[in-house]
Amino acid sequence: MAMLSEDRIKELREYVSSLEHPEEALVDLMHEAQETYGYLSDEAAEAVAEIAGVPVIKVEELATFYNLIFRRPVGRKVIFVCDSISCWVMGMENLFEHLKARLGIDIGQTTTDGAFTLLPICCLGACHVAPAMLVGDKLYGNLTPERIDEILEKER
Amino acid sequence: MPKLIIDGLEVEVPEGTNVLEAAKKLGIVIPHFCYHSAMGAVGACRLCAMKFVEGPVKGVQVSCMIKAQDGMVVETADPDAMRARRMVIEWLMTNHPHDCPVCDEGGMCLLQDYTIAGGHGIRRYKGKKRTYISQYLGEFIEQEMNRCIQCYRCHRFYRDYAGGDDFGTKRIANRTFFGRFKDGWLESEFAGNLADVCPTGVFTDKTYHFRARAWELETAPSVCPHCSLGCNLIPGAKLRELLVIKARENLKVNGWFICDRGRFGYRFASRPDRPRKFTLNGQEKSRDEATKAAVGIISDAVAKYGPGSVALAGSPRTSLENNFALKKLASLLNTGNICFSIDPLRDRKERRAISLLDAADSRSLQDVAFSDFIIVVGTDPVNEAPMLALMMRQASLKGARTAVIDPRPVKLPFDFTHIPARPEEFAEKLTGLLNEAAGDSKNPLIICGTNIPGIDAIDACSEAAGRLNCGLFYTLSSANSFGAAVLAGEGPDFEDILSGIESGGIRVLIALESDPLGRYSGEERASRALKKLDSLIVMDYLPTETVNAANALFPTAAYAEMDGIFINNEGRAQCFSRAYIPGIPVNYMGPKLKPPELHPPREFSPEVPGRSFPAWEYLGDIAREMGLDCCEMETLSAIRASLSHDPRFAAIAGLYPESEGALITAGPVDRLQAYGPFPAGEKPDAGEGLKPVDRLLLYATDLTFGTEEISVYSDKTQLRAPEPYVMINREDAKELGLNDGDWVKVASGSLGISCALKTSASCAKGAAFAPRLTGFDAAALSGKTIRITRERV
Amino acid sequence: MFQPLLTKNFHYGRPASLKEYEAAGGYEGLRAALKMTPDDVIKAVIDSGLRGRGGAGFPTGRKWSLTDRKSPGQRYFIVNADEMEPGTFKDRFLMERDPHQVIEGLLISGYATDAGKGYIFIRYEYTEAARALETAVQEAKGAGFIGKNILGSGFSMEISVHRSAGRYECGEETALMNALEGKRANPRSKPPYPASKGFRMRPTTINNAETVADVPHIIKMGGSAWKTLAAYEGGAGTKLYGISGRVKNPGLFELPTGTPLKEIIETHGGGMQDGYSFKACLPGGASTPIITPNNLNVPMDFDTVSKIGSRMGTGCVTVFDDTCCIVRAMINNLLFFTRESCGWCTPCRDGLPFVYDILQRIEAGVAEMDELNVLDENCETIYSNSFCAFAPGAVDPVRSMLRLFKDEVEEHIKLKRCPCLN
Ligand SMILES: Cc1cc2nc3c(=O)[nH]c(=O)nc-3n(C[C@H](O)[C@H](O)[C@H](O)COP(=O)(O)O)c2cc1C
Ligand code: SF4
Ligand code: FES
Repeated sequence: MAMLSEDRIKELREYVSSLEHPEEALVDLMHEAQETYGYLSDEAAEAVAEIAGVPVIKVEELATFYNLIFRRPVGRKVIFVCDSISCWVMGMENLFEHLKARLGIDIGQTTTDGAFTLLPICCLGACHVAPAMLVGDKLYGNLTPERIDEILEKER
Repeated sequence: MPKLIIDGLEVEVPEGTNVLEAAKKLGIVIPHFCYHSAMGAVGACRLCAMKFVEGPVKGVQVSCMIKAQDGMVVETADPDAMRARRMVIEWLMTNHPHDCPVCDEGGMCLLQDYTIAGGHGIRRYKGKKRTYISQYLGEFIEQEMNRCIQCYRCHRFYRDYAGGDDFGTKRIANRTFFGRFKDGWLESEFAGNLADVCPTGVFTDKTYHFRARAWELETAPSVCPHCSLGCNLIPGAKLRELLVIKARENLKVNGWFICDRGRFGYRFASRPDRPRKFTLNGQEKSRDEATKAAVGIISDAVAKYGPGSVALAGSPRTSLENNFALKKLASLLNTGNICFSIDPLRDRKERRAISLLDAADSRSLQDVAFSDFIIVVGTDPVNEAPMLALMMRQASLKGARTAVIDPRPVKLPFDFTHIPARPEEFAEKLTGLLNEAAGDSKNPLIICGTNIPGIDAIDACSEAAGRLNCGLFYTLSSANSFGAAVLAGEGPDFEDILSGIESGGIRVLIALESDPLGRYSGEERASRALKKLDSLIVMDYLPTETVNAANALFPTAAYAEMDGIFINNEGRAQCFSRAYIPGIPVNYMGPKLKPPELHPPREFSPEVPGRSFPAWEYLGDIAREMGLDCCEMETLSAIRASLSHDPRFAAIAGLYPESEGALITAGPVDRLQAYGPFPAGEKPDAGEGLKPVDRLLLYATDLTFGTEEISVYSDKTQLRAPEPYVMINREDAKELGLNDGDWVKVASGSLGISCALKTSASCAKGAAFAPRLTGFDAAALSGKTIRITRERV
Repeated sequence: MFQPLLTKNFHYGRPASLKEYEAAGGYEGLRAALKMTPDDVIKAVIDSGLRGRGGAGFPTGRKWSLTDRKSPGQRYFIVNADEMEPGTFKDRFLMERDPHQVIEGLLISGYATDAGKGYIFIRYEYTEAARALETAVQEAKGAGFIGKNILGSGFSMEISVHRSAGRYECGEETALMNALEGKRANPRSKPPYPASKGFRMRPTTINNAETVADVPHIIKMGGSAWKTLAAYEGGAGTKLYGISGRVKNPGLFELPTGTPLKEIIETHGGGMQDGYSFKACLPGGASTPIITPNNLNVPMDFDTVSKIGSRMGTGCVTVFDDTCCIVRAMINNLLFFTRESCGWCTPCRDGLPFVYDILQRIEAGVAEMDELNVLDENCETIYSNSFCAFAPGAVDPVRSMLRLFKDEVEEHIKLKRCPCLN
């Protein structure tokens, strides 16, 4: 598993110690650790706590509060399907079914090849192109089953 | 002071009181979960709704979040407010597992009470319940998260109030979870309070699991025997077995909480090997026969060698009345050979300390929380007097600064300055700090230990407190150290008695709940000396080494099994009452359980099997049997009446259980010097030609778990006792070529112990520390210069 | 002819650069403001009648005047760009297309409230917007708009962009401050108010991204002039309106405040797609009560929409067409709210799942008629007894459903199935 490099850890530690309130860096640190480790594993959470100089429970409290910090392994890309009201009006429920069938997984699961994890997410602020979804950090709107197939092909 | 009207009744409350408390003052108790007097209001559970009809706030509001103000008119029975309360309960019950029949909280569960009070009876929610997987949190506390109603009290206690940092709030929405990062023992020394603060059965006392229903327990107001602070508690027993301890509120002492030693150290009381029989040279006797035998022993000695041949050793862990009865017996026998502690060094220091405390500068445990500058001199609060650390944290949360002058790497649940200094430097460091603090602090406080500091430091603290108008707070060794020290006055100490035995002048020793063979710092010397005695008469409830060596043994009642008084470190006399009649627990008499001789008796009798009595009764028996005038020791009230004739104890006349206690002032002890030279701050001897690291000075220290005399007999608290170790400064270790974790030999003269080495950067140089763990003779080396050598890596 | 203000640089289809922004009059507002006293800036904003665009419509000038500007020490200004109200996509556009506008607004707001440090709190999913803002902050720093002694005025301000990590509750202002402090985003009790004890317990002012973006224009035009841009007497300025659902032309439009809802849907949104007819709409996000066809003439502004029993909210309209079952729409809404509840207070944490469950029973055709009373009692008590405004927003649309679509709901129960599914 990828780890934060020693040098980077040193840099981050210096950055944190320059702060008056190290806790305020926790969300940033968790994002960075997650990008490096793929998800916020126990070791990653402990590393973040160590860098920030806070007890690991404080990291855990935040990590499990936020939905965009993953405490369990996820696929190389997470597919976030908007399940909020405008996308619902535009037929989001069918898209979910389509995605589940195509990927062969249920919501919350990861494809066997480790490519995708399927998760719901609240309104992506893309209601004008509903239904919408994020693959990784890329936004796709005006989804149809056909378009989804193309996107999966491209993103895999 | 704002005045308001609640349900038509006027009430006046101090500024800042919330309306929920104001109503309570009128006897109107509105259900609430998240509000707790100690932790304040956060408005999370939304249960305490009331209707605000007139005044600055209007409408249905949660009353804990609203400060009482003039002109408020409040209705608690308003239909909208009642609906709000009923719905809150109904919501909380949607997920509750209804497992009350197997829940330890059943019968003392706030959710049960408030479900009735709130009027929710019929389940209307038809959906599924949310469920959790609970965590393993160690052997003290059991977690059953499915019962959680998310009142956040556990988090607020553990993290905010107690400063623990291994427990918190995880996840979100109705999946919110309270627990640790990973399974494992809760690390805080105050974790046990979770069982009390949790209003339902999420956190329960694991040591009490499935043993009794709340309403079956025999309880009584009591006082903790496990350190000198005298926290208030409620022991609960069933069928002669002590099963559980809960905290009892005393706003002058512990507030609402107790430490885990106080809560889980109770299991000494029902140990199968606890002395339950009167014996004479190992043979079981009746109480009467034992009394007659003891009288024979004493009378013989007095007849042959004179009254001075009888010595008596009382104890700082037994009640004031027991010690008083012992003293009475000594004076009836006309012997001056009586002491109340078997640790002469500590005894002298404690007598000195309490003689220096007067009403002007003495502070209660609660007062600690209101200090704004705290200097700790040679005491390690978490380990020596745990609840003190919790109170200091409350002061710290209010902005107090804390400095700890101590050679050990002291840990506290808040930020403080540590000044690693050796005892001989204490007085000087104290002066330095006081100069620094002078001026900007209104409520300064000096906390001084009596283990590591020498008499000079103890004096210096008192002197500084008097001069600078500071509070003064000494930590002592045991629950009744203060009472024992007052009775000891200028009398001899155990050193004197040992010498008397060694010289052959003393032929009989009566040991009252004291264990010279197991606890005297020079155990070997004690055992050699005690062998010289003609007879050893022992009264105790613990299976000590001294009990094993007794010629005549009287099994006594422990604190929860009798009425009595302890005087805490502040001089606060507090009553404790009998919760249950002591005897062999019925549970131990079943066929499955060992030892086999405890098989239930087949014949029935009104006698309680294995019944024991408070020691003062036995002492009275002896006096009576000897034809002495024992009227002052015949009943508890006679003892107390006699005690209160002494002006120093006058205050106990008005004492009653569940009061806040009464303050005793020991008064100066004149000619304190008379009974022996004081060990000034122990100075390492010059050790000609030796490098400083080759003559480290060793201190035997106390730990929260594993060293306190009574709780070491409790299996559960012993689980948290560490393996023996010796700790020294990291640089000293380097100089000795030793590393953390090495197995070393610690030696002084012919004495030596082996253990693991711990090193610490914040340990004073030139000092070494070893905990007084059972079976680890650290105490024998205490105060001696030692050499540390490696045995293996 | 109506002149767009907020959206005038949107045509680039990418973030307008500093040069492009300045060419269109950017940072003139800041220059002008720095020549005024903070009190005059506040007065201009009061005169403008600007009301907060975050949803509640609190008068912005008044909010600023409440900020404790006297006590010594640091003060903060926070831009709330968490935008997670379902159906809403206005702040995203502002930040992705014209980030400097938000930054300039923040600088002027900071000047007016004497805040030396500004934060832009943005949701994590808005990657592009965050990048645009970060680039813009660098550009503005380079040009001397951010930092010490800005444009020689003696006023100094630093700006950071904080990327959050999800959760709707982070948008609630006090929860947001906790989040920014590295704590769980539970709301705080008020008092103390942020104006005196906010972020790091210091005086803090917080406004929505659109609100601060309005400020440069107000300063440039003058408060009273800006105010007259509204579509009706009681309104003020321009507003970003969004429209989504099965309309022909879903999108975001800057229009005079108070433009009638009908005009937004039919003229700008292009009316319903062929084969669909209008059934109802949420006027400004998932927490705003439903509006039915008979009220479509309402001017879209805070007070006017409140008068007809709803709320304008964010002004981003979600249209329900005739195929939408109202009960299912509410189930979808409650799915969101039960999932996002911060878990702090009982009504929201445990009450919303109760509401969700009853709605599902109704939709599944297994509910009894008297469960409507239970539903109603739940909604009313949640509405009036929760800790923050999250839970009232969660049940408000359901309450409106029980008022406006009682027949449709009862039909579910009588038929023991959803009448919209054939
Ligand atoms: C649950 C909840 C979520 C909110 N989310 C947002 C948000 O994402 N963006 C926002 O600007 N305001 C949000 N608000 C409103 C803010 O609390 C606050 O009123 C607003 O940021 C103030 O800015 P304004 O006066 O400019 O509207 C939310 C409020 C609540 C109760
Ligand atoms: S209403 Fe209560 S639980 Fe819901 S978001 Fe607000 S504080 Fe949290
Ligand atoms: S409802 Fe899906 S992007 Fe807004």
